[in-house]
Amino acid sequence: MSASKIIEVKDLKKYFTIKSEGATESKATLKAVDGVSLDVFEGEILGVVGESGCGKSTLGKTIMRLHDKTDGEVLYRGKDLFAKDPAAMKEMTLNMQMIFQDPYSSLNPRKKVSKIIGQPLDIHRIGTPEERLDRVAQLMDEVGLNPRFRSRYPHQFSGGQRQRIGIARALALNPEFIVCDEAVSALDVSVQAQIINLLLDLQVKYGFTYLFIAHDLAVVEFIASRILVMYLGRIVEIADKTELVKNHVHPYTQALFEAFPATDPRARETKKRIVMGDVPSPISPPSGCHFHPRCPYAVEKCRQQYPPLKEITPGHSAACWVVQNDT
Amino acid sequence: MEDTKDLLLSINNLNFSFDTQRGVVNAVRDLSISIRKGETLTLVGESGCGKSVTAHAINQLNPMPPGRVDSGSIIFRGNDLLKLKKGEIEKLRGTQISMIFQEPMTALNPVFTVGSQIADVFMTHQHISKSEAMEKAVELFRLVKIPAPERRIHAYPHQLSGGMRQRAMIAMALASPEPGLMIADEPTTALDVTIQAQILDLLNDLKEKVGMSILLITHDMGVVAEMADRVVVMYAGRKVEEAQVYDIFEEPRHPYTLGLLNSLPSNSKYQGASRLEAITGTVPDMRTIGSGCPFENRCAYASEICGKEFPKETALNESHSVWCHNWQKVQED
Repeated sequence: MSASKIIEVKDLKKYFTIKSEGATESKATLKAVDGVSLDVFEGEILGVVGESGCGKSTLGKTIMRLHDKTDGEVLYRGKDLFAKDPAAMKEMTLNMQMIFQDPYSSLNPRKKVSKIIGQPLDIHRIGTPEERLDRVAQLMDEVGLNPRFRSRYPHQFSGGQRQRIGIARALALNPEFIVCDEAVSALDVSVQAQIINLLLDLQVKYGFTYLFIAHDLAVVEFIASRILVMYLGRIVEIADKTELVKNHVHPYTQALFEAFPATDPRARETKKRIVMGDVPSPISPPSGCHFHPRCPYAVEKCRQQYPPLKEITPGHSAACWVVQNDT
Repeated sequence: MEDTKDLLLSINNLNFSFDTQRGVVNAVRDLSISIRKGETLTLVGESGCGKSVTAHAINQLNPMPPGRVDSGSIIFRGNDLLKLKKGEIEKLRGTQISMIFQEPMTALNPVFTVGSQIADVFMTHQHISKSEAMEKAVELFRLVKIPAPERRIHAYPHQLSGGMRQRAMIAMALASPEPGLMIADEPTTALDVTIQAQILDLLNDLKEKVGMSILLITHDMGVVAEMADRVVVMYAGRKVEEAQVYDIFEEPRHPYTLGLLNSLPSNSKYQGASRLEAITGTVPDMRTIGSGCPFENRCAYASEICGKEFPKETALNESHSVWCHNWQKVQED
């Protein structure tokens, strides 16, 4: 890929301190993102998959600086995002936007749709009030909403339409990088398909770069050009989509692909290998490789040392001692 | 049409509606389904299609009022459940018709241990002592593959993971002398995909071991493909297609069923594609649906009659039926 890097994440860590209530007040550290490094290239759709608690949303939010980092760096076109003062950061947010999962809680119920979509323009003082109104109408049209409805409130729209409002808001400033955090997960499948199409159409039209976070492997597999898989705060595997779909080597990625229900009833005759056990708590992850208690291939080294993310073939990296032949 | 000997439950022409402040919602319209012994029937459809209302009508879990049964009957082992008194239906719930829910945390009582909640079921319906009931609870925990069952029965619901809680719920549903029907309402929707695979596997396993029938409610065609023997597709309160699972996936004849399958990014037709064939529009307001086909406003095959009249059943083979005026056009495509 010759495209330039928009985002560089270097050894990013985001820890949360959890206080437990009760007689003995104790503190624990939740390592939501624990040493993640990745590059996002211009014009790509980088899919992030993993189960609850794997840190995928925290990763997206920390890149957007909605969380403060614990350690590491996030560079936007070579410039350190976390070194910025608030004024300079505001400048950056012109180019970086986010679409959220829940179209119910991410829109202010007391504001009219025109206000919600136009707010980024108001904040950054772009155009005259009339120009902003025109822009709002144009944005609504762009995402498939009738501009005549601009004086309505969020509750007057269906879930899919609300998600369109959230998308229009993210588009308002002509960003180049958009984090989609489970942007289609709360929608019914027929509406989900519409929103996936909308996101893809917009990407082609404007050349957006997406960081597309989702738990649904099928959706990520369809939409992304490159996929990274997370487990308990770390990247376990990353590769181009076609490579990852054909040739997923990390035992967790394999478990994920196996577990995903095929939408073909004939496929159930081929008995699947189901990975046993639960996802451990990210507050006290297992020693060594976090996946080792559930991994059918685990050896002694896996219990002791966390494997580094290493390139196996060009563009395809995995964090697994067994795959790396280094046991 | 069906061999009545094998029939466990049949819902006949059920009409169920809710009185709301803004008008009457006909949540289920003229619905008939039947479940045979030992089979898994899935009701599939999107939010608001009436699949949960149907399931909850069986053991009278819909709030009434505002809900009401306008007409129809639900025959289970020869009795019309809609005519039973409250006490009688309560008895059935714990013994012959059990239910598991999407979010086990809300279905379990947080202040009692899971073991004692299961023991309660035994003690209420089988009148045995607490210690015997606890022993039986351990056995059930073992059956649903909860590790270290002797220890886990003393756990409170919040001490278990989501997957374990769902297993405990399943164990409770099995705590009856003659399990007949298990209603599973989106049992894996709140779970991660690796845990979902475990629970689906467990349900399939138990179905054979215990010999029960499962009525599975889901919105996820992947779960349907994994679990179903037969499938009923619902849209806006109506049954629109019914068939063996293979026919639904391989020869869908209702435009909505076809649209649902085409909405799945995992559909094999999308290898290398850059767009999905999505259904346009949104589900209509349930208060304003007239006598026509509710899918008419989103349907690519709609013709004039569709807005006026809900179609009659067309039987394509002995188990495959479709309710569509233009199903032949779907077949041609």
